[in-house]
Amino acid sequence: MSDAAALEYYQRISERFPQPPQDVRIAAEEAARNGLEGINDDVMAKVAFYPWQRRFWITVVVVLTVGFILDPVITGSILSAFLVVLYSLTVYGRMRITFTGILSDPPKQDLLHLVADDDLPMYTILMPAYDEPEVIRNLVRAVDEIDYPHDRLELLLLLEEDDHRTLDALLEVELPASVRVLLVPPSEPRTKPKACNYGLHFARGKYVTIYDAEDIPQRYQLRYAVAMFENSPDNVVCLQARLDYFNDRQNLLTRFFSIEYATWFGCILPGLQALNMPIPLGGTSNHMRTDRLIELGGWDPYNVTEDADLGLRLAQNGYRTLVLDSVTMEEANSDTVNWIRQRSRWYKGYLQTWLVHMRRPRQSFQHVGFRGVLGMTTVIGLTPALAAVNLFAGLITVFFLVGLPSFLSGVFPPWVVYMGTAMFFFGNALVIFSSILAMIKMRKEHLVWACLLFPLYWFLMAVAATKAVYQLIVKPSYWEKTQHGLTEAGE
Amino acid sequence: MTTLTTPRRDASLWDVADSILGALEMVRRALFFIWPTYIFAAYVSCALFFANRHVLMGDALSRVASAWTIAQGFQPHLAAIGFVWGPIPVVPEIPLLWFGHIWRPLVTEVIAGSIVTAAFGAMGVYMLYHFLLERGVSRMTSTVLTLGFAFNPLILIYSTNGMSEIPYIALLIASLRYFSRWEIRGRTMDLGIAAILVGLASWDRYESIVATIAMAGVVSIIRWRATIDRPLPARRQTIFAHLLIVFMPTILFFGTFILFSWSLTGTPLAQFSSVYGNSSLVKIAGSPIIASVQVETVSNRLMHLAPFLVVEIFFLLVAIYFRRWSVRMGAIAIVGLPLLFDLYGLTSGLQFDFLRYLILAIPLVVVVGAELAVNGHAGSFVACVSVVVTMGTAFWTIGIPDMALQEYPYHQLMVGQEGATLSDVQLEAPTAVAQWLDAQNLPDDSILTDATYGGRVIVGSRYPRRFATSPDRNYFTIIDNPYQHGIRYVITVPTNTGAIYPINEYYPTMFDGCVPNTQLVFQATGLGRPSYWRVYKIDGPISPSSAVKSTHCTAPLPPNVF
Amino acid sequence: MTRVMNPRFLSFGRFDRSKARATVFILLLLIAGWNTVTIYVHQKTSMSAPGGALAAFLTLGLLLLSHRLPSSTGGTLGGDSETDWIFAFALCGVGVWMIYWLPGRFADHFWLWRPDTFGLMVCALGVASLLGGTRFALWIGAPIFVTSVVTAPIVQILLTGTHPTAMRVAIVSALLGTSPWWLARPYTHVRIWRRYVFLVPVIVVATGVAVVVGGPDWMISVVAGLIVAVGSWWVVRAVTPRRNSISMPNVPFTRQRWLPVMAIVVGAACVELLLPTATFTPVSALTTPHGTVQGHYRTSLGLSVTQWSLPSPTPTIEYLVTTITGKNKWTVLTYPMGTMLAIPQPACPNISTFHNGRREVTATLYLDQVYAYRWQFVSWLQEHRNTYQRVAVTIATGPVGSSIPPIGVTPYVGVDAGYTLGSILANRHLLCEPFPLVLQTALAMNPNTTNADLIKHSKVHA
Repeated sequence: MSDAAALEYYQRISERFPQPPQDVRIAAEEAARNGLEGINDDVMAKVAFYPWQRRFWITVVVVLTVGFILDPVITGSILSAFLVVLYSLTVYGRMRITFTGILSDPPKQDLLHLVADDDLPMYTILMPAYDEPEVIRNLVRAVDEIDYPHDRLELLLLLEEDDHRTLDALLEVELPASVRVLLVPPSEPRTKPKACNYGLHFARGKYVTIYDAEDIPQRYQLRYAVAMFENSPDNVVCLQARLDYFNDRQNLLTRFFSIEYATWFGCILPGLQALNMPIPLGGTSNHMRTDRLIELGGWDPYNVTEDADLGLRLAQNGYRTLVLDSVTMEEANSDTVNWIRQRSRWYKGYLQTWLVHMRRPRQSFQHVGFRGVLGMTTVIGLTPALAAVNLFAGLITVFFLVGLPSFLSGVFPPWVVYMGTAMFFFGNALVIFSSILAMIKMRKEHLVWACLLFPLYWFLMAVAATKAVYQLIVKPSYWEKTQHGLTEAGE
Repeated sequence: MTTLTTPRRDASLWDVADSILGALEMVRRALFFIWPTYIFAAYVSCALFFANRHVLMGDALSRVASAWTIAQGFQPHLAAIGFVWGPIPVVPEIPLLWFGHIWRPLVTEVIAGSIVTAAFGAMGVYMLYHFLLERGVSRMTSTVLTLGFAFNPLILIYSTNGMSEIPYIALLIASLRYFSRWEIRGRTMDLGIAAILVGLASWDRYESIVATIAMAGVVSIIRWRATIDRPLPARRQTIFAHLLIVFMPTILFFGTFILFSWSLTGTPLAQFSSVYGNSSLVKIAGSPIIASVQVETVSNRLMHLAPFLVVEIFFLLVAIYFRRWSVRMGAIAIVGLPLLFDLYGLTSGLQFDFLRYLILAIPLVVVVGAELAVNGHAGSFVACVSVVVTMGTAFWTIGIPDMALQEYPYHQLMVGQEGATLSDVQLEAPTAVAQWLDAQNLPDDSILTDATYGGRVIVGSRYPRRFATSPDRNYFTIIDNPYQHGIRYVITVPTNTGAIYPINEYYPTMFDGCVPNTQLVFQATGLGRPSYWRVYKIDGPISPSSAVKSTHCTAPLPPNVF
Repeated sequence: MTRVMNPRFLSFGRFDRSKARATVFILLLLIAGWNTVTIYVHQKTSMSAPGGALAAFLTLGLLLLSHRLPSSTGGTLGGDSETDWIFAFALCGVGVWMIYWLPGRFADHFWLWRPDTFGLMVCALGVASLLGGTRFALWIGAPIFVTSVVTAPIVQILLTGTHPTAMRVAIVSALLGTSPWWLARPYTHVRIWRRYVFLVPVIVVATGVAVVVGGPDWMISVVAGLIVAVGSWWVVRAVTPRRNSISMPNVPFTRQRWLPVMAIVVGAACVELLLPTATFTPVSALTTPHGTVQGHYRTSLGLSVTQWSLPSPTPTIEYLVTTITGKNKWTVLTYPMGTMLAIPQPACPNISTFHNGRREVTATLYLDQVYAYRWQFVSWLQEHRNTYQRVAVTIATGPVGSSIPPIGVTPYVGVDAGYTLGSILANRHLLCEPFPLVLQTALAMNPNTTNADLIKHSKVHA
């Protein structure tokens, strides 16, 4: 679309949905893009690898290649031994966190301390969307159902200026009074966190949260969040609600996804909380104190999983995140290829986040402690990395057990074989076992048979992780758009 | 609000006394806290006592022989565990046997096995005590029941001799404790731990699968009753989920055992189908072990061993019916069902006629007693009396040689008589063979023998790697062509000893010296079966076909020898 | 009634360019793998029932060409090229391993299980991911898996037995021929119960026709297979509901993807040329029974299988000789019992296949610890005046006083087949040394061997 036509379109839209003055918009957009730089200049994922990190990883790759050329057997043995040890530690760490979470009692919704209507503060909901005309009806319904006084509720619908499909659809709908449409000026990178930063600039609420357009939060979620904030110490800056899926019985993939989410939000996050490790946030339903968030600089627009990054950044600055006992229903991706894209974006983001937060390792250790760094590395850094290696390692294990080509038997010394095989069988079985325990705890026993088929899911994760590693090196800030609305009609 | 401040005064004698008493109290608490180690120490001392008087059991010896072979040498060679038995009594023995050169009795008197079973025994006793406490039995009754179990003669014997019974019981009791916690508190994690422990028991004895099935049944009933208000699909799903929890560890542990057995030896269920396994041994004609036992004999034996079990059960039934006691049957089922399976196995010929297959009766006495004790003083009294009486009856039973063939030597030692000649295995002759072979300074894998009888020689030797035995992957290749594979010496025993010895299967005439290219270089005799041990040197290639062809025998067997 | 009469049901859907390209690609692969295809056809024929397996391939092809996928959103779901490549690499890696390394573990059972065709299917799936996208590969995965399983010879043997009646041949061929349809839901959107209900009459009809047509077994099975392949496709298409059907868009073959595709075709052709084939040593006279004949039968294609035992000096060793004689060298070679061809490399190169005289002899060891038996198979190939023969000698050793279960004349069935998998796992270290006993036996079978050969071989593993 030519500039003149774009301008004319913009004017037509802003007639219906008034926008702030242009200079304010430009300044806000500038702040959204670069605001973090001013505050804390080495926490942006603008550059995926810091110079020393780049040098380090290139050295590793070069050493491995030379080693393989010179003496593949010894290099292979060392590499495989290292991987087996790493795997064992990861499984141990993850299991420790999961079991702590399973054993912890869930935080109960505190009905006694709900705040009276008159005392409720202003609440801002940020709702970024792009090219999703079909979800506008969900938006209207969601606003109707949220139980919060509408005069204290502000819902900012954040759209890109050139998102014609959605805007055209919007023009035909009557929106509730608490909804305000904000148009983000176009600029690179076009990411969700940048849009949220833009919206944050105009947020008037004392507390802010993000919902995706198709989310269905629990009715009283905002009230509970307020109550919990008022009754918590000052350094509790964020509350993460539990995410769940309404289409969990649609097909095997959605079942897998639900199991994963239920374990993550029901066991791993509470476990991290109990062990005092930093909590990576979920994509939506993270309720925050607006002033602190602005102080921290908002989200990182270059990071494709800005929520995980924010969670770690909160921890690094000494703030705490707690788990909120309230559920937001989402739609699980039911198509495999779509799922792989979404997951590769998350993994790429996790790797970016880990790389960013390990730029100054000594500082990280100081801020969150050894335990925190360990937890962060296990949950955020190693999950995608080991998933990528998983594909290769799994194949080699199967080849070894069944095929035993002679050139492979030299590469694996006996103790590596025993430990690796033990890890293969018992480590994976323990993970499946813990997920069954988690399902019983979360009262999702109808998904238990899908737990047994989890290795298929691991295969898909490995594919996504390989894609993520490739993209991290080649195009770090590319945002894989997830297609929604795939639930079959009538299901 | 008045603030009380302690006025300062000089340290006086009272303060010193106070601090000493405080320290003593702390020491007392610490000493009490480590009470399982006392049990462990007691078991080990008994083990040393028995071993010193040369009373051993054959299976324990074979296990130590395997572990000894693995422990010496750089390659783990774990296949040498063999797959007729589970890995559990054997694998913990391996690290102990790293010190086998330094302290020889670890090997020669099977002390390594004793230490492992003593440790398991102490663990089992500890778990039993806490199981009782958590169920609500009073501290005093728990102590009596626990000690009555720990020092029951049969339990004592098996905690000291390296066999697999006590690790099985210990894991079962540990599993029972966590299961009982789940019953009481409802935390699924406890059920998970119980399932893992009973799964580990399958690495010790395969009968633990019956315990898993019992646990699954009890769990299903409990969950069915607990979900009475939920719709039918949800009830089915929760039972399915809990059954998965119970079965997964057992399937995994037992399954990997079968898989590795299959992969390394080619036969999945060696304990059943192997030539050394149960069914074929039981069917050997002329064996002193009768195949299947009459039901009357088995119940007779059970009555000798634990008569008060019936008394307790009678009391329990009466109390449930008349006094309306509420009783948790879960624990009783989990110990009782494997015992019933053992009884079935004895009467149907699946297992040998050994007293130790009834050993589960003793923990069952305690478990049933726990149910009685929970429900009041009368119950506690009956339970305590039962357990104490069981100690006595066990002692009496093992004093009857017809009933307790393998335990009789222990009884003799306990009453001050000598028992070495009655012991299950006699090591005099094999040790002589081992010492002679050690002195020949042979290379590795140059002495051909087998796990059945060769184990007795291997524990007497300092260099177990010199022996080629049956778990070895190439064993049958080697036995077909010993000379080409580096074998220079063969250990032979008479052919009618009553057990399978592969060398006698392939070279039945070697013992009499009928195989060409062999010459008798050493012979030892001793008590027990086999009483003759011969070592033949191979000078040239031999093969099974040549074994039968020749009719010229150099050293025929003396008559009536076995 | 009008639905069934509608001629549209005989169409292949929208036959666009990408489907044409797919067809061309498959034909090119068939030509490139001509040798493998020939051997496969001959093997199936030698087992008297080629119809089922071949029909399964035909059914799969028809399935691919006629797919229809109703789309729920009405829009098209985009593909993802990075995922396609990752899937392709992973699947092709596994497939190549199954073709080149895994068969070495199978030793004598290679012709029974045919792991190489299974690997070929896996590779095909990987290529499908490149050609049609990941979604296409996932949806076609189930029918391909089923096809590769049913085309393994063991399945046929388990179902038909070794001396089947004509009826049984027809039924089994028909069943195997419809097999890809059972898991083809995403293509047809027909519920599985409906598929059972509609395919069963097809099987019955095909069986009836085939049995009526009569003739030798292989003809019956081919007739049954063809009828069922075409008929089931027609029937299933007739009952496919027509709501919202949109042909699934394949990722089109762009010029970028033609390059890897052609590379695959050329590579496959080169590999075919490099694969060694069977060498039948010319001899002056074929081996004839000279001991107690234990069993003898003729297959319907003129293969003659004989087994006899040689006198043995000791009760612990039994010698059994099995010969398979026939006029067609491929059927003699592939009849599933006995030797492994030199394709592909066994795990112990140069030793488990060794030369005795001019013969190339393969030797394999089986260990059975149930009764401490050992079986050694020694086998070789020979020909005389256009009659081909495969000789397999079994040396069975066991302990005193037990009777050694013999290796049957007829191919493995049932439980034995299960044991073969176990022995594959167990034989992680294949026999890597020739036994003196083996050499003695070879000597006994071929009086032309010199002592020098024998001495040379016994020194191979000192």
